[in-house]
Amino acid sequence: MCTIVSCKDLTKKYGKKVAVNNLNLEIKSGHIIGLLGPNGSGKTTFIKILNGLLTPTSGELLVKQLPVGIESKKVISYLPDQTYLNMNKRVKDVIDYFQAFYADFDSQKAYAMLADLQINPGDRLKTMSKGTKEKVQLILVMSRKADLYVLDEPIAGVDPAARDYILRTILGNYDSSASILISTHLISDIENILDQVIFIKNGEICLDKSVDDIRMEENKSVDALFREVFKC
Amino acid sequence: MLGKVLKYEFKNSVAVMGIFYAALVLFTIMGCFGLHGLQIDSSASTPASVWFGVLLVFYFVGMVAVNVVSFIYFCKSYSTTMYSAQGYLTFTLPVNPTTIYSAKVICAFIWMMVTFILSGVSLFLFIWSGLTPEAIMEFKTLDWAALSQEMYMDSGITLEYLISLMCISMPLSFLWYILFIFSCISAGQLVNRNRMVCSILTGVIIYTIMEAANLVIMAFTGYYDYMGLVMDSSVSEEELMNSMHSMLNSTMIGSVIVQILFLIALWFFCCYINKKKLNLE
Repeated sequence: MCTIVSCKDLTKKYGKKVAVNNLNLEIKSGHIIGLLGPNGSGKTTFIKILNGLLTPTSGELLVKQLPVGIESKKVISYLPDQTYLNMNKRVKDVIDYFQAFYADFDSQKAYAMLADLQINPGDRLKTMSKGTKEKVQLILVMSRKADLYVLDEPIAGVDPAARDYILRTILGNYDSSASILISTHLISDIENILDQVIFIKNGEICLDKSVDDIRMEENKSVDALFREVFKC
Repeated sequence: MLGKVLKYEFKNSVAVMGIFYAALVLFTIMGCFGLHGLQIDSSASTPASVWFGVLLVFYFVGMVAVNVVSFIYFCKSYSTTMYSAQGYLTFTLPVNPTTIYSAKVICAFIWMMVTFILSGVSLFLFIWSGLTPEAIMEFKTLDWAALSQEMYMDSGITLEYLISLMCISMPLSFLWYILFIFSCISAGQLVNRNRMVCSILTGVIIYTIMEAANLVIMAFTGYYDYMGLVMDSSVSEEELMNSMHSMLNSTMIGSVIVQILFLIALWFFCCYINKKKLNLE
């Protein structure tokens, strides 16, 4: 079990507002980690820094002992919290695009998952519903053989049946030696698949424990503990 | 990797540019038809001549629109693919941000050059459609050497030199506009609010610095000295002509050098922002 991500005193400020405040954490391989927190807690900011979409104000973030850059992007498969593809493109065009730039992308797997969902690769993304677009994006992300899958709010804004499919897809298509980092505030839906949870509040980590330890020590579910910790 | 990124840049833009060029062909046909019609029917203000005139207006408006809109398309595309939601995909590719930026600049530049060349061909066909057989014969028998010599006597530069300078300065101008707008857009994404205001301010600052640099060039190349001579009634015409020749030559070369330096500076400016100051909030 190796350390995929190590983060030391990571800080991100927007003027006087501190989005991420001296974050220290490690993500090891072979785990499914829930990055949990209320809206505005810094989950997405941290994820964006991890993926090189934001530059930190201070601190260090290493992916497989390397700073964020081309090499880290080769090993991280990222699903943002919004639609990020060109809506005028057909699904097969996007698959070609991913195949061209990601050496670990498995287009056969992608087409198989599309067939399972009865999504026509020849359709343009703009003709699809929101839920279908999110499924396409998830398929693209899970078709890579990455070391770390980073899923930012993968089940927000979709119906319960689609949520079940997304969670089944996540579990069924990732390499067990890889890690998955799922950011969400819908705890009850994903609690059963998590190994480890990180609670983040006001840009700081307030809890970093395995799910088993929480259930044994706190004698409550992660959802219940979340409601207690982040009580308004 | 640059080749691969360029391939997809061209793939993404070829359909849109094809539509623009189809429109250019249509406008050219309309313009040629209009001018030829007016040339034949030039004597009276018949209803037909009005329609021919309308076609000419369509041609000129269409020509300008194709060039302007295609430039706006690339600016919009740069903003959308780099700093909006699509930027999440662009900047998570395992590709150096400088490579991505270079591909976008090269792609926009090549399309603008193609648009310019096709517009030139369109203009040539338009003018040719309105020429009489006598005018065509005169054009074919034109003494270019004499024309060049006459131009040299008037301005101190030959036709060949002017064409050479235009061949360098036109592509530089296209690059300048592309890098200028891309730099403004890149600077705008540095802030979370009022990005448009930040972009406009950046544009004003860059433009002001550019104009100041041009004023300095004009001082060094003798422009103000020449203007002083123009105001001095005791200066002979020959001396004035020699001064103008020297000034024009130096100013044109100086402007090209300043433009190249600015292009290099803007290039590094954008590369730095994309690599170190990305803010996809």
